[in-house]
Amino acid sequence: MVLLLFYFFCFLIVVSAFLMLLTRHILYAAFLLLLTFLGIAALYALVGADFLAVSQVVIYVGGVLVLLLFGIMLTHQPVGGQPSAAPQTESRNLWWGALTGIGFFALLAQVIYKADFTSKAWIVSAESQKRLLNNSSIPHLGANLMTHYLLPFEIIAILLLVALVGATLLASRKS
Amino acid sequence: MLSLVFFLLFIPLFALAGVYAERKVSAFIQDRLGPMEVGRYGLLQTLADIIKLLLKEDIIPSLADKRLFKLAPLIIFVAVFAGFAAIPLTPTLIGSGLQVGVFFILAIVSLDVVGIMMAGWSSNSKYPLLGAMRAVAQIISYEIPTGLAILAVVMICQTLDLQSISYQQGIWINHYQHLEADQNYLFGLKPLGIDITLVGGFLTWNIVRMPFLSIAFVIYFIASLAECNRAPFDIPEAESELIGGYHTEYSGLRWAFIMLAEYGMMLLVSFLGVILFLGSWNTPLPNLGYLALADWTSGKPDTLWGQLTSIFWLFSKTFLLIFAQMWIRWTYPRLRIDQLMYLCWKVLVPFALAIVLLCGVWRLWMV
Amino acid sequence: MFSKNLVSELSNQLNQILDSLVWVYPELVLAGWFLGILLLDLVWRNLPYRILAGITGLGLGLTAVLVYRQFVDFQPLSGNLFLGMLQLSPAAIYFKFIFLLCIACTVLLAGRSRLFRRTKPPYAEFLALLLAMGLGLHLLAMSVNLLMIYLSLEVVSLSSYILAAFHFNQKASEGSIKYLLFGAFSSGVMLYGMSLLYGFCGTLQITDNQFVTGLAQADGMAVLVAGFLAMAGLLFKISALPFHLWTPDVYQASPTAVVAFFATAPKIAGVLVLWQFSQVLGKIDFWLGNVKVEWTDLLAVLAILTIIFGNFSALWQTQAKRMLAYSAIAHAGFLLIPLVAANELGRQSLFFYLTVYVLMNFGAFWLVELMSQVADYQIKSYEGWGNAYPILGLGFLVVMIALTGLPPTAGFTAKLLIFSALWEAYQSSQNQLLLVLWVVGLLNTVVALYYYLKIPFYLFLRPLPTPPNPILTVRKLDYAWLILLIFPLIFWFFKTDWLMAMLKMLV
Repeated sequence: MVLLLFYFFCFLIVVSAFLMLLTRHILYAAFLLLLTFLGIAALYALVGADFLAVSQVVIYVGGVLVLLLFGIMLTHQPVGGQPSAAPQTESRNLWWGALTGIGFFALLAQVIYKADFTSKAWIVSAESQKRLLNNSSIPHLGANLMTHYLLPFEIIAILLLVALVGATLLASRKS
Repeated sequence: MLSLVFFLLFIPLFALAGVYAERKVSAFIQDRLGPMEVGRYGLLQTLADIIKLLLKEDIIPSLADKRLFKLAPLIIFVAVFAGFAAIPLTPTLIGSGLQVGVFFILAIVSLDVVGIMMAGWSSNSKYPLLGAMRAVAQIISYEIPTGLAILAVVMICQTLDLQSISYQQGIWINHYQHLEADQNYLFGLKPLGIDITLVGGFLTWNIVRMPFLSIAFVIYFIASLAECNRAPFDIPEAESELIGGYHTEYSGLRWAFIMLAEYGMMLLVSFLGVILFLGSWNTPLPNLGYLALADWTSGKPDTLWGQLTSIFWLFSKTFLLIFAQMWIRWTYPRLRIDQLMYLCWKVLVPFALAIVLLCGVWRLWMV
Repeated sequence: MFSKNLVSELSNQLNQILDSLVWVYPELVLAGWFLGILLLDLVWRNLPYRILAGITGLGLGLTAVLVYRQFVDFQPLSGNLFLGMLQLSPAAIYFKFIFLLCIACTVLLAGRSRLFRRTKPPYAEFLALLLAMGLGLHLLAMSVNLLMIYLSLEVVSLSSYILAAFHFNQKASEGSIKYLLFGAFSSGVMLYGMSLLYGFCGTLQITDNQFVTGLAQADGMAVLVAGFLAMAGLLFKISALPFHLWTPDVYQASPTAVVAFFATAPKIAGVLVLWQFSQVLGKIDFWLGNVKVEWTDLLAVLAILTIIFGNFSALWQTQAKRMLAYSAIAHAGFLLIPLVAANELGRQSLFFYLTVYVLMNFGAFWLVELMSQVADYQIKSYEGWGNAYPILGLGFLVVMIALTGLPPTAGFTAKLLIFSALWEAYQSSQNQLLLVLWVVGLLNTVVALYYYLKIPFYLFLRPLPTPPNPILTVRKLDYAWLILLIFPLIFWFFKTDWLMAMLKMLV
């Protein structure tokens, strides 16, 4: 059952990602991205990473995607009120793009195939200790954030503040 | 599963009653009578409206983006409906005992935003687009104070599990896993030494466990009004200027779905407010010596009496909150957009931040 | 919620973290000053640059004192901080000084720059972002954990994107956007590579034994590709091929002070992390089928491409800042040479090169900024000014010779050292690729001569178009800085040992 769900969500992710590439309608692409994000969240939930799954929805759907849509709608000037005048992408260098894309994909696919993650020592040992599918990951996540990953956690705070300062600065100055 | 069926039936019913209540409340506030013609005291008025809605033609503007236009109401409704999965109805009845329940509901609200945007854009018309813009800007902004207020509760309760949060606020605290050894102290302060674990009632509600959470509750309530686009934060729908905002172009069944989602959203945020701050399904009456009011008014979690009393308390508190929402809607004028943003960023967010900090300190005294 | 065992382990970890806190005082001061300047600007709007810069200088001075205390108190055992996130080493401490020097120079140069002052950018944010960047650089120099490397690199990058737009005009936005897009792309690629590396070994800490063994056991091609991807962000920072595309546009459009900073500090930090990275990956032999490939081979190819591309593109430039951008690309290639050599001499020569590189760059950009009073950034418009202001002209001459790598400057010594390190590595490994790199490097130094000396050529050998209408004001401060920046370039040529003796201690 879980395996079936896994394949279903994988299918959803891949198909929506592929359609996103094919459609020239930017908003359709954005909404297809929604499907991809949700599918990925579902995959996280399937492997027991509940917190990560919900974070994925909050950050990517609630934050990134909405911002994206907002940006498209705000900058787009409808011409003539026709739906066909919707914002579209141009496709240039189609063949070269496809070629590099497929080439890169082939390379990465080969890398992942050769990497053979399931037989890696640390993953095998983690699996044997049943550490992967625990009841909930949240208490451990919290404890780790306050110990091992304390410094990264604080640096992220600075990073976000820098981003915030920069964003307001660039937005408030008329060039 | 039971929870799913329950909510699937309950939300339309609630919308029915809600619309009627809204009309009556507004009428009484404005010293009118409200609907009186259809049925006794106009009780069947909404039913008649629903039948009219179902029979209406489903109009899709010819220049609309048809696929998205058709899809949007569904997304809005499904998103809101999915939120109910994490709501605990009784001590044992909950759709999905998620460990991340609160966080999940927050995530759901953001899905709702995407649906609204889709509706506003696909209508290909000025008012819906403007309405959608406003709705999204407002919902995203007010998610921050909401999130912070919720975070304050989570810091006090040390869990994201809504059922655990519920148990912590009453006399049945020791009946939930991981909480067997927990004690409740007056104002949550262990140094005070007043053990009220078995006293329960409103004394163990979160707003009393950590008194500053009452401010957080006010923040949450204000922000939740904005989240469901209710007056005085209804500039996205503003009938008088935007003719309904993002759902201007909708009619018939699709419009009904959007309305259903709106009322569902009201219900959802009220549920969440009750669960987080107002003792969830716990009774407000404390055990006072021989007057064991709490024991009398709430049964053991796994008994039928326990189920009935808890569902009663949860719903009465929720309906009280919904009444407050209506009351505010018909009392206050609509905010201007700059006032809206001012309130959010310069009033609610700083206060919410301060409360989060206070809660962190308070928690140190609680153990 | 947690077992007793886990709780005691947690409190143990927290104690270790508290102990580590002593070793990041400089970083704490930088972070505090960053917040402080933002708050200060919030309370008192529109403070003049002079005062804000003075306050920043105070913070930098305090940080420098604290870094010096670290240098004095340093014990090798106190290395691993924050449960393995950071590692303090003498080299890191040394380069922290250099970063502080770079920031100080940038603050002064920005204060001197007329164009910068005239456009009245928000000074407080400018200085705050510089400090945040300094924080990122400090952390980057100490990072031994992939997550920390990524995060501190992002702090540096984000600040850079904003600083690059500080002229707030069309051109600046264009440069900044290009920078942002390429930066986002390369950091995405980097994350992908890092996640693969994590998959191979189950740890993020590159100094960990598990990291090395995990990589050694994994498939050669997979590790090579993952390693290259994980390098992307660093290659972007040092503007090496194939992540160099942003360089010319950003250099041209951004304020000169900012460009001078971009050309030095982030590059140093990037090279330092690359060095750490290569130390680990260099231990592993990769087998592609039956062919043995080493990590340094990959670096050598990158170095060759970068040097050739940078130098030959610079030949056709007529704009001083653009030319310096391509020169920066070429220098990135030269900076990769010690990494390819990967021996003790390579390490010392790298540190020497980096030190000299900072001085040369700030010298060059300071002079370019001074000249921009009377000329735009076109090299042609420098005609004859060398004769009118001999000291300026002489400064240009020395800096350009140093950038080319000719005697009698420390630029020559630096190149000499890296090439001898490479030759040593070639001798011991007999790898033909190293020889190719050696030859390419030497030949390109000759090519570089042509475009670097174009500036002194115009300055001295062309007549000043009469009459010199605009007046070039050179203040005492300018002379003082130029002498401070340029004097060591000549001094260290004659007394190389003085600097080398110190760098040898940085093990």
